[in-house]
Amino acid sequence: MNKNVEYDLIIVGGGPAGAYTGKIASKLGLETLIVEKRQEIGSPVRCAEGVGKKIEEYVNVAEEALAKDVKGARIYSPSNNYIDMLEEDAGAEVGYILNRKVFDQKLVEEAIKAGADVKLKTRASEFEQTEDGIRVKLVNNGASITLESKILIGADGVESLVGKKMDIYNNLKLNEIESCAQFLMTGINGIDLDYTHFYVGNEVAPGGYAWIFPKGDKKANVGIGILPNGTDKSAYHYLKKFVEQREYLKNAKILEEIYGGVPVASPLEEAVDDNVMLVGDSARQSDPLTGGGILNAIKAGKIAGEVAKEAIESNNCKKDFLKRYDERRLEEIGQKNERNYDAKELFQKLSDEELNSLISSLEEVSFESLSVTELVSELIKTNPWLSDEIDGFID
Amino acid sequence: MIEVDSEMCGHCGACVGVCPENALDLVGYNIKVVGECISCGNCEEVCPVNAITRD
Repeated sequence: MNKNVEYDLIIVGGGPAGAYTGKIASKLGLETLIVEKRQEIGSPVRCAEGVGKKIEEYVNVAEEALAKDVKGARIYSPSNNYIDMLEEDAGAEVGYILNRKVFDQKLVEEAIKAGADVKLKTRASEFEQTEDGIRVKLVNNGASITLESKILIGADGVESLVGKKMDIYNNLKLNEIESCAQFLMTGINGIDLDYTHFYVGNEVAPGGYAWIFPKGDKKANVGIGILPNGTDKSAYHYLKKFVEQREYLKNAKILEEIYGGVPVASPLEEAVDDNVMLVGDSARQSDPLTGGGILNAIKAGKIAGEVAKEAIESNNCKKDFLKRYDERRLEEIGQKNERNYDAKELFQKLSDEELNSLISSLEEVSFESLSVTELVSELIKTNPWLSDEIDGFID
Repeated sequence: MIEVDSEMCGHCGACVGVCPENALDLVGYNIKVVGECISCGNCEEVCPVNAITRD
């Protein structure tokens, strides 16, 4: 190894994507550094904290990291009729509501136990390709240090600089991002908090939806995501209106305010360059239909960690080799995201009347799993005109 | 040019993601203008709390 190269892998970002990539890579014996610009892992939370139980195929969700195990989802039409989806199998897409701060810290702890180094309050500001890898300028507590790594992982979220500075992609367009606002509220009364609740409609949340994700003990994440190009008003405006209009939130108080941007883009064809791979929100891997990002970030992190190991072993960290990551993540995450992107594009065009009729068409359906895939498949079966617009939901 | 009201800002970084010029950065908990703004208005539109205004 060239003596100037200090690490096999420098990972920018200490969220689930970065931490899990770091854990896998360290376990495989790579010298790994995770840098996080914030002064603590997992805070501020920028997430509704829901995740499917499939997460347990990858991560052991500790008791302290689990806020609520929900038993179903209730989906409301604009006219306030609803359908219930009950969880009857383990493949639920939203089954757990997490305490993200605890969850994220546990993931980083696991990466550390596997051998990774972690630096907080450290911002990666400049990147320069060299003969052997990438030189990364880090600003730690105001002081600059430069480190060299064979591979750089951009796990730096929706605000990713790695992706843009390495010219892997341009900015997100205004139809590729949900603008989100959320209150963690306490003292909620008169709604079943064993369920998650979803509200759709152009009045409630243009281009998105509103959600109630219970966290136990009369608490819940009450949030909203809107497409910014569909309205002049802010997500915060729509959230305030939503809260005011719900009887069950009348006496509830706000414990936390959370804001965020969630990529709802079609999958990147390329998320790699010479000596660089992108994972998680920075690679726009969140599900374009639900906005859920944790499970995809973890899946991508596993693939990225494994490909990094293979590349370093083969002494080739160039793009032609790292393309393996693209191939695997497109198969494991991309195909479904592509399909869900098409569904998102379709649902955004529907009027409230159409949404009302679609939801009422499902009133007699009993669902076998708590999954968006099943919801959309049932919608297409019951309303065949939808199938012209979106492919791939019914096998 | 744009102005970010740091009292209103929710520190989420959505504006950084939509900026076509790398003119914004989420430094720690603060949104900073670090490059040349072309006044495209993307950041203003995406901001969940209306903390960004264009001159």
